[in-house]
Amino acid sequence: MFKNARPISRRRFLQAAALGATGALAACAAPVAQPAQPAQPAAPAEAPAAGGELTGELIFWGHADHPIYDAGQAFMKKYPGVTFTQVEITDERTTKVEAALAAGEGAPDLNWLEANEVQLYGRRGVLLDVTDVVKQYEKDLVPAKTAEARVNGRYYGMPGDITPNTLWVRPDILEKAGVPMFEKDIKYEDFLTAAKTVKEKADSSLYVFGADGGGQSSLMFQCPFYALGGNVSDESGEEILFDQGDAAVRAVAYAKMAWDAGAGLDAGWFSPPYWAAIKEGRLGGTYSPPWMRGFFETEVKTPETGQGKWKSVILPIYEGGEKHRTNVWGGATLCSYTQTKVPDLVKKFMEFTFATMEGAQVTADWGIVPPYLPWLTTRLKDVKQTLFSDQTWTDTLNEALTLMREDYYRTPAYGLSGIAGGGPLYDKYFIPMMKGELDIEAGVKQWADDLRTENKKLLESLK
Amino acid sequence: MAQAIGTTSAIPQASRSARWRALLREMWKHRVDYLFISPFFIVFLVFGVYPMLWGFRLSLSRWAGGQRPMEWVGLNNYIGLLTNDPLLGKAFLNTMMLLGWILPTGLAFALVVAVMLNVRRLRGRGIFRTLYFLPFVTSGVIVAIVFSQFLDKNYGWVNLLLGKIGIPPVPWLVEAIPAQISVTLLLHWMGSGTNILIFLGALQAIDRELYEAAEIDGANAVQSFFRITVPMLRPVLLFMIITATIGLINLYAQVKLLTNGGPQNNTYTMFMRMMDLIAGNRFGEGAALGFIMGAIILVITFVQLRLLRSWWTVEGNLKS
Repeated sequence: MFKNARPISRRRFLQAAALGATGALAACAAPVAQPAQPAQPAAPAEAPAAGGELTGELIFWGHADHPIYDAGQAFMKKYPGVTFTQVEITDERTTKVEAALAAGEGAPDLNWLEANEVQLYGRRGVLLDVTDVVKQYEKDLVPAKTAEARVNGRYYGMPGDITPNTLWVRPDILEKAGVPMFEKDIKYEDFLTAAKTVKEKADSSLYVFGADGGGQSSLMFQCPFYALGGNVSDESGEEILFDQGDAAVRAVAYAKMAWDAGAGLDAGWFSPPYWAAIKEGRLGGTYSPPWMRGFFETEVKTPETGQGKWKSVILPIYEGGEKHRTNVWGGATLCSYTQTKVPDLVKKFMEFTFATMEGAQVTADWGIVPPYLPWLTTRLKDVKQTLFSDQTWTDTLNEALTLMREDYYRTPAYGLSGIAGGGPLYDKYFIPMMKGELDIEAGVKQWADDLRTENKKLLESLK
Repeated sequence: MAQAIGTTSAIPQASRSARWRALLREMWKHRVDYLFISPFFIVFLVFGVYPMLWGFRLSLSRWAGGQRPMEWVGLNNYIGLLTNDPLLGKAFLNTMMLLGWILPTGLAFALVVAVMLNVRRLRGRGIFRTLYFLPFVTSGVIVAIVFSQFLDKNYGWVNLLLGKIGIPPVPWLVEAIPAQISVTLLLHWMGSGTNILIFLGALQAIDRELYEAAEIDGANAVQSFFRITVPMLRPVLLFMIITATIGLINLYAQVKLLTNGGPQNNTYTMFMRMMDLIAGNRFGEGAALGFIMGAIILVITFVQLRLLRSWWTVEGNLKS
């Protein structure tokens, strides 16, 4: 059949093949013209229409099972013209946000940022200025929390989760060790004595102190540091105050007392051994922020594992720190970026979520504590929970709210210091001081000096 | 005289332009061939060369990210890192120490196992090869998490087993030396499989007649190993030393997950420092550190090449 066909030359074959390949490539490329980024609104959403009807789409980036997702659902119910979409992003969130910021588009309309992140991004000028909304409700929001969203007098986020830390205890485990339930005003030294007794007699710990000193263990330093009036930096974030006064030195000394007592639970925070210790009653107490309740309740599901057996009391007294027997750890803020195409809708959502009874209730039902004072003073007591034996948990929380400081600043330097749970500077100094390998005063001084160097470079890079 | 100079300089210029024209003609003649190889170069230029040049520019700038312009700072990022960084010195020492431990022990272990697997009489060689290679195809993230559970001081299985034979618990992840050993074990466990397979392939390519001749000449097994096997593996060994060096200087994920740089920064590597700088919005310094690491790799590789070339003659004999 092909006997008389002319042989095709190599050159012709290659030309034909190249033409075919180019066509095929073009055909393949055509439908892949979408940017490899999370879905964004197809068109800019509209501002609130006349008559109060809201329309548009809001994109939120966050982990699965999120309080803001719940708020989004409630918001859509209230405003059917609005679409709220959550894109589940966890580990790569910062990288993706950076890529979107560099590209000039693609960042989410809503993001849930830690206190020092708000300060960092706020200084970079990439967050949406929401001063008008926050100012409107300023008197109704917990002042300590609003300070975290404020950068150079402007607000770059809606104050979200407030986190006054308290001491959670299981009276049944104390009883097993013959230790009476703590009085309201227990001194730190007496608390440690009780912890040692409980460890000896009931094989249970009243605080967490892992060998790496990270995660929850850092509360043994953070809490006295907060109570004693310590600050990593001033509000501007430019001056490092970490080694000013004696708060840091004394806080390290208090932490060392807990380390030396050897009564803490030596397990990585949120690790399987950590949860096993809680469920088996080997953790009979812990310094804790309120948001931890949600995580505990996911694990502690039966009375045998401690459900309904916990109580909450105000933290022990550190001498001279009676006025502020709490601490803040974690607790995010609701933010948006300047590149959002729906700034008005974003502000409306922020207002709904943390400045209305309805929104506050939804987020509180999830497990966080919203900063909206009208809700806190009337509804906090009704929050459904299964971890604590009675509603004294909310009483303690309300009391802790009154102990919070308005002059505690979680600036970018706070993140650099690592006191929130670990980091290279924290690792460099904290455990050597615990082990007695480094003198506390010298260690704090060196820590602060390194922090000054690092903070200066960071602030320069933000200019 | 001036005219003469002008004439002589015009000749090479004309010759150069003629050469260019010839080159372009030749390229046009092979345009279809160039079209075929162009996808690689386009991808390489876009995703390889451009980011590298952009990164180099970033390393000489201060940049707050987003769409803000870069501000030229010259060598300040490099100088600041090399003279005034509170963590880079430790990170450098840790990286070099891990390199010094892991590189020789890892390659020696892989070579010994490969030689054993190369014994023709060994039964079930295929099974052993599969077993040794298996860790390589397992997710590094999962392996690191499992190792961290195994090596937990209080609740880990390793200490549990050691306890059964009367050995007190070892603080695997909370003391400096045990933590470095833990990292070494993890990397050996994960990396040995490929190293063994590469060595095995190279061993099987060595002509058996060389060993037979050596045997006739009265060489024992050890002499054959050092006089035949090792020199014949030189190209493979060189390749593996260089690639392992690059991999170890860029060590990040496994250490991040196993020890997070701890305890007390004793496993904190240069790559971790770079990532911390970038995550901390110090993009310029992060980029500068990336280029410093690249320079370190180049220097070490150059030294390795020189040393290995001088240790072995072209004929494959170890110099005395």
